Parts: sequence; structure tokens; C-alpha cells
Amino acid sequence: MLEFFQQLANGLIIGSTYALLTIGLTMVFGLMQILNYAHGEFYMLGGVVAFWVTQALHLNFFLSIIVTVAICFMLGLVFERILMRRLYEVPIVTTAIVTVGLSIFLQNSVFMLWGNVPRTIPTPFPLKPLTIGGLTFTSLRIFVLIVTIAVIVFTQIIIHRTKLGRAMRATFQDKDVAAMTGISIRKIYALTFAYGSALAGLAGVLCGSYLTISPFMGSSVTTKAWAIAIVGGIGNIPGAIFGGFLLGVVESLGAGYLSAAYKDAYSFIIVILVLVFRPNGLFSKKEL
Amino acid sequence: MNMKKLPVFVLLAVAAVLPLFVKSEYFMHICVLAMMYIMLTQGLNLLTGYIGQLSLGHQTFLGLGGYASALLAIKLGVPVLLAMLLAGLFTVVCSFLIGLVTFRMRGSYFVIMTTAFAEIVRLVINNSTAVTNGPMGLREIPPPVIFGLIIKSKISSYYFGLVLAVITVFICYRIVDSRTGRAFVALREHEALANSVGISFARYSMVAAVVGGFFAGIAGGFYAHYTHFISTDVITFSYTVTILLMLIIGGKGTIMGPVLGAIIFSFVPEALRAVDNLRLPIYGLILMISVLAMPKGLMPVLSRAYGRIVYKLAPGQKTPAAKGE
Amino acid sequence: MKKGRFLALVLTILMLANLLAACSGSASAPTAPASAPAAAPGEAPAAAPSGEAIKIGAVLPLSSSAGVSGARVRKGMEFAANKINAAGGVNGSPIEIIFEDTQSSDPALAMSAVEKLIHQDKVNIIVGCYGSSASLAALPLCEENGVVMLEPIATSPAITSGSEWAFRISSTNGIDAEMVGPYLPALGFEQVAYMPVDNDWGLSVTQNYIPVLEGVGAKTVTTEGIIIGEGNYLTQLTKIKNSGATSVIITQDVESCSTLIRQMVESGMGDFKILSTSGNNASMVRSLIGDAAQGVYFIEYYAEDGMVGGVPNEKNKAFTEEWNAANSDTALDYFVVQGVSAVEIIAQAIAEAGSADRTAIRDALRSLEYEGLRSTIKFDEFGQSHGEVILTQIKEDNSIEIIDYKK
Repeated sequence: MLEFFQQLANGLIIGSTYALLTIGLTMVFGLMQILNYAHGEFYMLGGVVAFWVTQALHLNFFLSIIVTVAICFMLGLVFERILMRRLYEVPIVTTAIVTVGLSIFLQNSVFMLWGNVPRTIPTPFPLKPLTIGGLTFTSLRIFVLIVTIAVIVFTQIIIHRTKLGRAMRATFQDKDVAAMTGISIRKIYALTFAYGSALAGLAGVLCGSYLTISPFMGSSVTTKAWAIAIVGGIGNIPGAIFGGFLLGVVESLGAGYLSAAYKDAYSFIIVILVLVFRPNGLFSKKEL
Repeated sequence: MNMKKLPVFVLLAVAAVLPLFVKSEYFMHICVLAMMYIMLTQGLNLLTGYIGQLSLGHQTFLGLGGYASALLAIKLGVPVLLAMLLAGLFTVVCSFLIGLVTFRMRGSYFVIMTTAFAEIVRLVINNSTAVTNGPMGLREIPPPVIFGLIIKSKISSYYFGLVLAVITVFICYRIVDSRTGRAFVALREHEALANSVGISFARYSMVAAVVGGFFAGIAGGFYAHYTHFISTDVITFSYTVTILLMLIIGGKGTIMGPVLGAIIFSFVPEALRAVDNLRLPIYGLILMISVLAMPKGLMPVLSRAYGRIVYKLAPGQKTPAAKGE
Repeated sequence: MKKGRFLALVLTILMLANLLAACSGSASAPTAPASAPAAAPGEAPAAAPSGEAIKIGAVLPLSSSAGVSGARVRKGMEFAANKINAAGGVNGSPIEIIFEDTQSSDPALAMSAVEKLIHQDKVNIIVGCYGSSASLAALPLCEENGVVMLEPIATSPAITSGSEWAFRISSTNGIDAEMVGPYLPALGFEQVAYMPVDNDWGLSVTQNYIPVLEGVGAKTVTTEGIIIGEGNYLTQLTKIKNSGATSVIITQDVESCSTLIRQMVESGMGDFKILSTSGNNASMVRSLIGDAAQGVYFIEYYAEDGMVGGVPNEKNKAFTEEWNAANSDTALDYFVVQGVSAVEIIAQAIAEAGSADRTAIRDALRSLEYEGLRSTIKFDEFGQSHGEVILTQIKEDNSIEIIDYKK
């Protein structure tokens, strides 16, 4: 029984980073209909930037998180300006190919420039695990969980309690009407994309602190994030959060009790089941 | 002869005599692979180009066909040509079954579904070690034999591939040029309207998927028997990207576009070997820029240019400019 | 009408000609006859090699995740070639290496690369293809064309199982298991859980280690396959922790291996015995995860200078100093050494044969004896070398000790 709860806890902790990754993706898709296959690359850039910040600027772990998120936000703005802006009104096939191209470009450019050695971000947390009620955790993972939940709450506050959030929701519901009321659609798009990139970057730093950072770390997370976005209903943030935790738990229990060899397939099996029985995702009502 | 079809015949003629002038085995090898890619892109074109649903799972059928054909030939001793045909039928069944589930979706939901199936099939093949030899892949797959002739050399494989590719292109052309093809386009352009005149999305998508699946299966068999080796590497995302790229840059929704795309992008990555480390970053850039600059691909550009030339030289001829759309 | 047809024909031919040119013309040697580094001051520079270049084709993963180690092999090869060329080449001919990328050891890319190297670059020998699947797919092409494939890294036993054109300077999991396996239970590997990566490499480890270890009384408690590139292992580790196993045998690339070991400590499995099979070097894992790697055993093939308990090797020591002076960013490790060895072995074979002919190289390799940085390399009748297999352990003070496992 203890093993079950340990697996459940593992799943929730991993699920929190999935949720973080998916929020940005689902917002961007819901708002601008961009099938972003380069989302994982912002996750990778987060890790790479954080490593660079800790090594070159000698910042401590906590400061480096803040600096990295800021840098990823800027990078998001830059990429929106150069590339994404051209994809708002084009068919899904084109956006898919362009973002796949971007993903190949970013992965391999980083590989060329940054070298070929995997790295980790040093953290001040001790390696030794804590035991709480028979379950084993590390303080680092608990820190990651807390940060993730804080960011999720923060995102909800922005969307539901601020003027910007109101503008975003209005754009989401009907962008033409929103534009008529004086909302700058372009600005909303740019900010949304940058915010999504910053969240992916944050996930990259957090994961980079307990996994390793390499130029190709983003390639596997993109499809996973897509699966979660679909399960939660595209463009639905509470759905993405729920989907992230759900997938974390299902992967953990599936690999723990069925077969670890199919761990990557569980997310897709859920997607297929959800889509067959609830074609618009678990939370079909679109809401930010 | 019709001016509109002239370039097609020229291309075919060049393809037919190519081995007489090319002595490089390496070049012929790339040409053989190009034939496989023509079969793949042509099949994907029906679904993605004509019906307008983006599939990221087409390479699954390449893998399934390759494995099926190889296993039939190795384990049961089925003659290779028959094995390839049976593999094609096997992938037809697979694409039908997968289609039953996926064609309830549209747009991005459909895209994710196809990705999901591709990944699941890859993991199943990889983990069924007893049958598929798992991650070690299948080795020593026998070459095809036609009337006692062993298709093993580059040139014979090339002609074999050429015949298969031409058959594929011809059949796809006949489908596209028929009522069925017009129904495809109707679904792409206005699904609700198409439905109202009795064109069912699920039914026509299934036709496209089954035909595409069949040719992908044959292509898989062709690949396995040509390289004598197959592993799950062919079901990875990079193959999807390659096939899709050929389709989009060549010109989706046209018959000759994917053919051109397949030829060009069989050679581009090889040519990029010259730039060493920069190869993949440049490849990524080419992808982005070419798709943004020519969202409809090369084909409309080429056919417009060709139409202008024909018009200038022989004003009486009907221009083929509208061929693409 | 007639003119139109003509124009179309010209256009088509032009297009094809372009492709032909793109394919056969420009794709020439990217790495070039390595420019000779300046000779040390005071020394007379060796005569520049003047003969026709000896072409070595190298098929390695140079990008994507497997590129991490593939690029190290490449560095080693380039370093060795530069050194040989600076000293006058082989029989007066410079060595030129043409590198081809297989991305993540994709068999199809490996085959295309080998086709190109053999038919277009007309290489004398091929070094590759790093991954077992890639090598097995490309080997028939080498056989057909009578070119030696010298394998530097891959460990699948099938590669050296009968082809007269296959030679390998890396060990196989079969050899490793037979050499080290019988002594593992004494080191605490009695209740064993295996964590192999789900590819050909991982599979061949379980296939070879399990029979040997069970033969000497160790119990296989569980096998938890790991999907390649996966980062979260807590699930599998929780399972192993509760399975009754007390030791884990890991087969993963250096990145995943490090993450896995750290997550074992994080899950409170610090007292488990851990062994990393074939190829991961302790120093790299130590640099990634620091203290978490203490106590872990590694099967290695190259005793780095500075490891505790190694047999002093003057050649190794001198080469390490030379390497470190020239390459501050890359440590001399197994992968680099495999690259260096491959080039030096080829140079020696050509020198002994007196010819760079493809068949002559093969025949010379058969009887070759190479004094390497690792140990003496000789090939058996199947082209398999039997070099040194060492067992290392990271100690409490983070030093790396070579364990005399036979004791």
C-alpha cells in the first residue's frame, strides 16, 4: 500500500511540471491556433539559459530562476515578433512544418554553440531524501511542486483578476468584438506567447535542477504537452492543469503496475480514450 | 499530345534513361530511396493534400509494411513480391482500423491522434522482441525476385522502384481525377456543404487513408527488401517530418508536387552533408523559410511559369496554370 | 509546340543536373586533410606528406542526443590524424578523414553515408557506425564492396560473428559479462535488478549478463526497461526498492545513467550496489552528479591517467599530457581513446601492408598487434579485439579506483 502512495506522490510531482509545460501551449493554441511543435525548445532554452546564468553570472539557484524566466519571456517576445506573427492566419499544416523547422533549428544550433556535454544546474538543496509518513521525497522536488502550484495560482489570478486577463479572455471568446472594444489583439498575442515561453522556460530550469540539461531535452516533452492539452480540452487552462497531474499519475501507476516499457504510450492511450468518448476533451467548455 | 502532361512524360523519360548516364552507385542509392519517398508522399497527399487533414503518422505504415513483408519472407518463406503485396493488404487493414478511431476528429485533434498511434505502434514493435527481434531490428531480409531475376543491384532496384512509383502516381492520379477526388476537395474546401450533398467525411477519408496506407505498406516492403534491414527507427518523428516536408514543399494537393518534393528532398540532406555541423540548423532554416515563402509549395510556382512559357510559345494552347488548385 | 517541348526538356535536364551536382560534386571532405599543427619550436618540422591521401570514412552520430559521445570519438580521430600528418603521414601519404553524421545512429542514414563514402569519396576504410543497428545495417554494404568496417563503439556480438570485413576495437557485452560477471556476486550483486535502455544495446546486456550472473548464483529480481531519453525514473525505482533487490545493473547513456543514479539516492536507495555497464566513464558521471555517484561501479575499457590502482602506463601518461595541452575543453576518455586508437590502428596497418589498398588493409589488420593507450589490441579470427576490461569504483573521497575484481 505504501508503494502505491509513493507512486501516487511521484506521479503528482512529475505531473506538476507537465501542467506547467502545458499551460503555455494550450494558451497559445487556444488564442492563436498555432500548433507549436517548438514548445519543448523553450523548455530546453530555459535549462540552458539557467545553466549559463549560474555559471557565467554566478547567481544562486533562486535568483537564476527569476533571471531565466525573464530571459525566456524576452525570447518569447522576439520569436513572436520574427516568426509566430506570420503564422496567425495560415493553415495548420504550415504552422506545424514551420514550428518543426524552428525546433530542429534551435536544437541543433544550441548543440553547435553550447557544446556536447550534458550538464546539471547546481542547487543548494541536500541530496539526502526526507521521509514523511513512510514516503520518500527530496526537498528539491517539494520545492519544485510548491513553485509550480504558486505559478498556476498566479496565472489564474492574472487571467481572472487583472485588466490584461480580461482582455485575454475577451480575445479568446471573440477576437473581432474584442478588437472593436479597443483591445490590441497583437499585443495580447505577443504577451500570451511570451508568457507561454516563460512558463516553458521555468519548467526547463526546474527540471534541469534534477535531470540533466542537453540541447535535445525538449524533443520528447512537446508531444507529451500536446497530449495533455488535448485531454484537458485545447485552450482550457484548468483542463491543462488537471491533465498534467492526471498524466503524471497515470504514467507513474501504469509504469509501476503494468509495464514500464510502455510508459510513453500511456499518455497517448489516454488521449485516444478521451477523444473517443469525449471528442472535445475532458473539459469541453472553452475557458481560459 | 497534351501540353499539360508534357513535363510529366519528359520527367518519366529522364527517369527511365537515368541509369545509362549516371555511374555513381551512391547517386543511384539516393534515387532508389527517392522512389520510396514518392510512394509515401503520394499516399499522404490524398489525406493531407486533398482532404486537408494533417497526418503525422504516415511513417507508421511504412514501418508496419516493412516489418510485415520482411517477417513473411524470413519466417514463412513467402516469395518477396507476394510478401510485399500481403504487407500492403496488412497495412490496409491497419489503416482501416486506425481510421475508424481517428476520423472522428478534425484539425489538431486529428494530428495528435495520428501521433499517438504512431508512438504506440513503435513501442509495440519495439517490445515484441520474440516476433520482431525488438530493438535489434530484422536483418538479412531477402531481395525481391521477379521471374528468376534477383533485384539486388542498385540499377535493378531503381527500375523496380520506378515501376512501383509510377503505378502509385498513376493510381493516385486516377483517384484524384475522379468523382472521389472531387469529393476530397469538396471536403477540404467546405465540409458542411459537402456533407449536405451527401459526401461523408469519414467515408472519403477512409478511402484516402486506405489507399495511402496500401502504398506506404508497399513502400515499406520495398525499403526492407532493398536495404535488407529494418528497425523501428523508420517509425520515428524525423521520418514523418521528411515525408511531410516533401509533400508541403513540393506542393500538397497536386499530383506532381509530391513527386518533385520527394526527389528534391531526397537529395537536399545529402547535399547538406557538405556543410558538416551546420547541416541540421540549415535544414531547419530551409524548412521554415521555404514554407513561409511558398505556402502552397513549388508546384503552383512551377506550373504558372510553365503556363507562361507555353502561352508565349504557342498562344493557341490552353494554359495549365490552374493545374495545381 | 516544338519549342515548348524543347524548353521543358532543357529545364528538366538542368534541374536534374543541378541535383546531380549537388550530390556528387560539392559534398566533399568537410574535415579536410587535417592541417598540420605547428611543430614544436626548436624541432625541425617533419617533411610534409606528399603522397596521395589515405581516406578514412567515419560514420558517427554527430548531432542529436547520441552526438554527445560521437563528437568525442571524432575529436580523438582528428587529433590522431593531425599528429600522424605532422610527423610525415603514413608511407608519405597524409591521412584524410571524412566524417558523416548518422544523427541518432539511424540505420538508414548510416547506409546512405556508407554508400557515399565507398562510391563517391572512394575511402580506403570505414570507421563506424557506432550504434549496433546502424553497424549491422551498413556491414553488408561494406562486405559487398570489399571495404573494412572498423567498429569503435558498438557492443552487439552479431557484428563480429563471421564477416571477414568486420573488425572491432570495442568490447562486446558477451566478453564483459564473461570477464566481470562471475566476480560480481562477491561485490554484493546477488539480488539484481536490471535497468537496460530499450534498444539493441540494452537488450544485448540483459541477454549476456543474466545467464552469467545466474550461473554463479545471483538472482534476477526484476528487469525494468527504460525508454530512451526518459528522465523520470522514480516510478521504476520505487518498484525496484520494494522488489527485494539490493543491487542494480544499469545500461544507459551517460546522461540518463547519471540522472538515474542521482534519483536512486533521492529515493533513499543509497545503500544499493550499482553497476553501470559498457562504456560510461566514472569521471564523466562524477562531474555531472558529484557526491551522488559515490560507491558506484563502472565497467570501463580505458584506465585514465590518475585513476587509483592502475598499472602505470608511460605511453598513456605522456599522451594524456599531450592531449590536455591541446584540448582544454574535452577530457581524454574512453570515447576519445577509441577514436585515437582507430586512426592509429589503421595507420599502422597501412604502414605494415605498405599499401592503402582495401584488401591489403584487411589482411594487415588480421595479423596486427597495436600497442594502445589501453592495452595491446589484437584481432581474433572474427575481427574481434580482446582488450582490457576494467572495473572502477568512485570512492568516498571522489577518487576513482580500479578494482581488482578477481580477488
